[in-house]
Amino acid sequence: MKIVVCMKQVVDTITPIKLPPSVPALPEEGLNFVVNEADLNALEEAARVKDAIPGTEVFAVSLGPLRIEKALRAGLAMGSDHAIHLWDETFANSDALVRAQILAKALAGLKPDLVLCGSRSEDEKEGIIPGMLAELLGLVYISAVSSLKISAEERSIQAQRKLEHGNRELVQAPLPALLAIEPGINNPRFPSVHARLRARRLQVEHLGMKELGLTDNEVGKSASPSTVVKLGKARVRPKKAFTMDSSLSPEERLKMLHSGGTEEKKTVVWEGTPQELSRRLVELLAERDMLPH
Amino acid sequence: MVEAKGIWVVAEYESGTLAEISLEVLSQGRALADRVGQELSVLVLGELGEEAGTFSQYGADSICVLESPCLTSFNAEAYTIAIARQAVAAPPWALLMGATPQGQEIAPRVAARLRVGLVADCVKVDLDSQQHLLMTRTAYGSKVEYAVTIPEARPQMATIQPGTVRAKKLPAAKTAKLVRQPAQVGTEDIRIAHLGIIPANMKTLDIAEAEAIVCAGRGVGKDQLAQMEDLAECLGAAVAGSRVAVDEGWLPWSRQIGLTGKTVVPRLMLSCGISGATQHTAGMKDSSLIVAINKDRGAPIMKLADVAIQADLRELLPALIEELRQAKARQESAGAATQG
Repeated sequence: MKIVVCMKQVVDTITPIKLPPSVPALPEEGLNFVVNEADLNALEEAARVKDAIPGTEVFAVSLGPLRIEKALRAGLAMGSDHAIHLWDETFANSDALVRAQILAKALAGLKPDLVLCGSRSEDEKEGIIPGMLAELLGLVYISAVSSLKISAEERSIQAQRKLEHGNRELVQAPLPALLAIEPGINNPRFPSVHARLRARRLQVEHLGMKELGLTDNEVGKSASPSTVVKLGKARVRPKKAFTMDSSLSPEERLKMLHSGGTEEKKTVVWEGTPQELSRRLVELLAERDMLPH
Repeated sequence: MVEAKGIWVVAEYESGTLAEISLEVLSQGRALADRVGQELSVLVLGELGEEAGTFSQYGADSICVLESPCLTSFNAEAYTIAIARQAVAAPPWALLMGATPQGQEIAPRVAARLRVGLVADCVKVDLDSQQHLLMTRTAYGSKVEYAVTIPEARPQMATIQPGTVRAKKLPAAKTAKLVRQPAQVGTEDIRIAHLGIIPANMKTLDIAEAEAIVCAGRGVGKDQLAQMEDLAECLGAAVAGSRVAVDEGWLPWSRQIGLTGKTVVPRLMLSCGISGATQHTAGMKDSSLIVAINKDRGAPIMKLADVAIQADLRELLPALIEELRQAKARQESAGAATQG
């Protein structure tokens, strides 16, 4: 069983972000990078499959500049057997489709049985590369995975997917498959000292333009269908106007309508007997469709 | 090379009814279509019900129904392939969907198949000076906002966040053209077997996934915990607590809401006996409806809440549970009556 875990570093969003004056790209100085949380969960799932199926090989793969190597070593420490770093200067400013295409080139050569990606990156939260990568590789794609079970003999996988309202869907598919792993679905193992030392000693394989057989017109800004034209501080967006609370006076309701439903909230204070309050609350919840059906 | 024309909106359904997001995206499509002079089409995969009139009301110029036995309900593989093959046959200028779990699943796959650009989770879709789509989204914990264009590849694809566009009916009546076509998808394209749905168990569900939460604070007290659980059951809610509740051992840390616990955004947050220290409210302030019950009118949470109920939990909780049970009984007997 050959498993690839695609890893990404994300900007630690707790640290303050300095915004550039005009260039529509985030300068990296002063930014703190950490491994994407869902990727750690993906690495843990890969490690569990490895524990269950002897002879399983896990490859940690990441596309990004030199700083990515730290993430790959974290992948090695969590049980990956190999680490592959995809980078060349020409890869910079590639949009999602081009990044997916570069990853596809690298993975096609590996011929994995299972590819695991985090559902989304915590910083940009686009969540579109896993689906794109699956299509480019012609792999079965299962998204929003909360648990998985492989049957090596049957070359199939059973997975649970996160649906809305806390429900789960059970699916089954043949391998090879690409799964988008939800964050928080498992407890990523804490690497032992032994594992960390091993990770330090292992070689990280570097693949660039030449090794991947890519040409200039396949990478970078010129190859990317999308282009960022403006980047700046986020504007405060007013919340959608919520349904009118019948306990508000007509003037207050009109004011809400005119203001387009802004963030500013007016607290309504209720008093009364427990029975009155209960009736009023249940009425409100019914109005807002918040009672179970 | 076929010229790309038309703005397509993929219709989304929830349990057989048209989802509100579809009307929002349709209205966005209408606004754009008017400005660039393109025709606006709604793509319906599967069967068209009575919503044909609604599509017309909200601005569709045409409705294209792609028919196939594989499309009786939402199927990501079937939708992806049907839409992508339709777009290859007659490339649209733009292809829009809601940024919902459905849209998030199929949009990237369609974009990759078509080798085009996709901007996901747009908060705003406008036009730039070249009359290309100018799509804005946020990132980095919503601190940064950036705008993206797709100058050449067609269709330009975008998924639009629910609640960012107001669904608008057209002032004048119009009837959209109806076109039915066989979808280019077959059973050989479907590789995933859907074995079933496991419904959520409120007792074990991660509170971050719960749509309704009943949250216990110091004012609840250990002897009222059982009532909190009853209340949660009546509301179809999960039980959570402030740091106090967890420190006291009433609830496990996995149910703690706050800075050292989890951040939750349920539709309903019922805060019981919680004072509202910022370390706690940081983890729940974005809930859609916050109802706070506290004896103390001056507790900080009473200013944060949408509805602040000044009451003694010892009296209110039993009364509330009773009222909810009666409401449910009324609902059930009304349901039984209509079935008779």
